[in-house]
Amino acid sequence: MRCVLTTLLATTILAISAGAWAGDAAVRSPLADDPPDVPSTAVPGLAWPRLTWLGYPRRVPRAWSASRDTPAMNMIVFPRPADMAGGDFSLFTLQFNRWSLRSGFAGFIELEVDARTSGSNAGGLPSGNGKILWRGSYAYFAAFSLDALARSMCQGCAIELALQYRHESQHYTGSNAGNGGEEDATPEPYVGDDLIFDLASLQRAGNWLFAERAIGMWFLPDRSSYSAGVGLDLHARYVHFARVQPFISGYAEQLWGDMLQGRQFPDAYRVRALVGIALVSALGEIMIYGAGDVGNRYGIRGLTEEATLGLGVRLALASGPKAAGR
Amino acid sequence: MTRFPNAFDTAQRSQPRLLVVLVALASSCIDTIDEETSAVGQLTSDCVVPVPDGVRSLDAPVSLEYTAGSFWIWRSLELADGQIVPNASAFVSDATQACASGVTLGLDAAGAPASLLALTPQETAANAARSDGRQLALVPFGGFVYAGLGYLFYDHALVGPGIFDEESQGTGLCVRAAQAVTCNRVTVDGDTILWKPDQRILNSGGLVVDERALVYGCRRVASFSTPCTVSGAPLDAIEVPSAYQVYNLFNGWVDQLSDASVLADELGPVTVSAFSGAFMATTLDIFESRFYVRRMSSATGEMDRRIAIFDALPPASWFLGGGREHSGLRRSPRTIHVSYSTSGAAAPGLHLATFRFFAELGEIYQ
Repeated sequence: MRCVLTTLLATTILAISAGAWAGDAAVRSPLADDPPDVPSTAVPGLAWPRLTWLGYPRRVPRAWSASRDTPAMNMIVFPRPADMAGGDFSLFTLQFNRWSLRSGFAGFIELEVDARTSGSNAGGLPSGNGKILWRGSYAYFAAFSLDALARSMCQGCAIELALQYRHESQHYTGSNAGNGGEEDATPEPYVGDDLIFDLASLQRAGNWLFAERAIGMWFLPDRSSYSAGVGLDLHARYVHFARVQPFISGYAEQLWGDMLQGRQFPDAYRVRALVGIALVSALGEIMIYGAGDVGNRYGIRGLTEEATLGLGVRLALASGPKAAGR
Repeated sequence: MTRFPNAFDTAQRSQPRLLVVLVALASSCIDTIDEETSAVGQLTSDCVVPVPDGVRSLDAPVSLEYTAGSFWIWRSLELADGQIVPNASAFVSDATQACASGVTLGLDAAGAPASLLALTPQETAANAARSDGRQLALVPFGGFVYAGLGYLFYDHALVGPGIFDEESQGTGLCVRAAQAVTCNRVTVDGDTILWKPDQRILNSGGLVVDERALVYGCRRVASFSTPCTVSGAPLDAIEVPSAYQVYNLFNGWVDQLSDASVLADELGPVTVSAFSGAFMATTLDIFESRFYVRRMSSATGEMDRRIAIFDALPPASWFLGGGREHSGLRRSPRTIHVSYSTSGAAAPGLHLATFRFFAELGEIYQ
């Protein structure tokens, strides 16, 4: 209970502080009035389709997700220090009159200290005394947005189907001082390779924006310690203000264990919620959040089931409400 | 002009400190719910072997592994009337049957449990004549089977006067003919001690590979350090003590015990067997009460990393007994059988555990 209260209080104070800093944030969001996307590199002479290089990865941004697998620039301050360098970009977008197609790359490298946050390093970043757990992931995706259908439902609505191939592996690094010790990580789960299908939607209702995503995962046989999985991603934010927007995100997933290298792995589940504020800019947004989660840890600690409360900051590039509004 | 602080100013000044406190408190928010495990196989049974009629309790045995079954040997067996039978034995042909109805002890001509390995009349007389509280005991180690004969290695131990006092005099060899309930102790120059304690370590059973009999042994050399080595002899010289050499990974078979390569360092019992197209050591971690397997590239090769297979019932005090793997009981390719004894209150006694691997050892060690 102490953890819950203090984390909520800390998040609230951070939010109020940021709100005070924003000061003149009471400017209405331009979301509803956003013009259609104007491609930077249109195909001459053709109204449709229009081709755009390097753009927003999804019509419904993934960067708002509460999942720890979200590819973004992310720093978890508590309970354990974890830094992620990640991104999610469309390499090209083909926009037709009634639909659009985005295809690109997503990836991240995450370093998590296998210990509670106990101080800060020379650069002022949170640190702890423990092994460094690595996760690395890359994915290729194609996202198909049903723009006309979504427009017919409401202004600012979006419906998107996506398919991605993902690879993720995990490792650890011992201490430079030699006190980490060697560790046999073969009993720990391995994400490996999978195909992920998702169906996402986005709605605007007054000053509120909602995004939902249903996810299905199929892991390649003999390439993962899981066979299949499902996930659900929910996001709600108050978009009355253009620069500072409170949000709440929830994510849940269930993975079914499988046999890998002669070893049977157990099922895994994760439930995580973020509550915080998003500081919005044209480039993306800074999400400052308090987090609570229950379920299996990530990486080579995936067999440990725990509940945590913490704090974090995410830089979600190319993912703000303007991105969602396009 | 004097400016008096107001509540807002105070709040602003204290905000950073409050933040630090809150953040520090939040850092303790980790609650471990469970530690799950992945598994290379499944413990399909872990039964308590029923105690035979007329016997008070069963400890864990050592064994000779035959194709048709496992020949179990107990260092001592206490009968219901309090009599102690040294080196009683039983042939176990089926694990399921052993779990259901127990074992049938080898009996002597009088119908009493027989001693497989018995003191000579001279040794018995010498024991009776001693006044220092020590007694010579023959302690079976296990061994191997070749051409229908069981070769059992055993220790000549001086036991007493304290309960933990035991001093090895040297190792002997006893040969058991098929179906026999006694074995013949090999004598060289009138002595049954064929190897002095510093000559060969032969206390962990063995097996026959190609043209050589291999016998494994582990010896404590320091606190928490018990290196294991392998000795071997050509099959035509099994009963010749000087034919036994130790294996060195670089130089092959050599004579000096100090030149033997260390295959592993295990505090608990080690059983090496052919398994899944390769060789495997089954070990018991006596501190964790957990069994492990370790792949071996060859019967004389170094043991690979440990892979946990299952947890035994922890003892109420001290450590588990036994821990031998019985290859003679295998009836399917990926299944092994392990015996151990425990004082754990839930099911004290001699346990026979059956573990089935999900895949071949080579796949597990990829």
